[in-house]
Amino acid sequence: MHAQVRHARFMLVIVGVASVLTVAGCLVALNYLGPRGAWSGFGFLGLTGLLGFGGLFYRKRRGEKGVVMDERDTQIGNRSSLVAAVLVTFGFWGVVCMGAWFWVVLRYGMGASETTGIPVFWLPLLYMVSGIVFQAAWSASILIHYRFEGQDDEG
Amino acid sequence: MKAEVGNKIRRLRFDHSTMTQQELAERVGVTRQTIIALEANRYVPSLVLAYRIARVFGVPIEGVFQLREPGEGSGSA
Repeated sequence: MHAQVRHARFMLVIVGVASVLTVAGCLVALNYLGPRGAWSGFGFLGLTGLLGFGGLFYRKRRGEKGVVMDERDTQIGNRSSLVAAVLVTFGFWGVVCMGAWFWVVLRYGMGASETTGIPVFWLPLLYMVSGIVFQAAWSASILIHYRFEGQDDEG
Repeated sequence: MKAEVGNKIRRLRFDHSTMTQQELAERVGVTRQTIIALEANRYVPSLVLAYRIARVFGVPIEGVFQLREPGEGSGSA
């Protein structure tokens, strides 16, 4: 299995586990500690720090012949980064920005949208979540690319 | 319709003592999957890689890769 595929799977697992634990943690904390305590559930996002070990997948194993990454792998990685960036910019931020705007307008009316703001302490969370969406989209794109391009055909 | 780049890598490998995909990959510095993708015309190599492949087979670059413009008949690949 290619190093980039193993890396993508590792990232998806970490991001998936961190997301599930975060949501579960927030719900449990909300139940026992109330709305303010619910924020403690976001501590599980710290698990995404494990993504920093991703570089280990590109180490050459002892006795392994050939290259770990070549120009095609780099191209697939770049294309996946582009897909993930577009998804974050126009998908995630589109949903967040337009969703918040529509919610305010529908709930409070058009005039309220000019004076309603988002609490500043939401910004680091939004930043982290957009990063997680990027990692998940990058990983998914890598797996899809290799699935469709990596058929074996020795001849 | 866009232009396509075909190649004769598979045929050239067999003409060179049935060189395996792995051997060719190691000689030009790519993974075997890239050779597979090249032979299946799913990947167009960089100019550097194209020259390396041609050099391994001892032929000019046109002897390995052919540009097929839209409307042209499919060349031998």
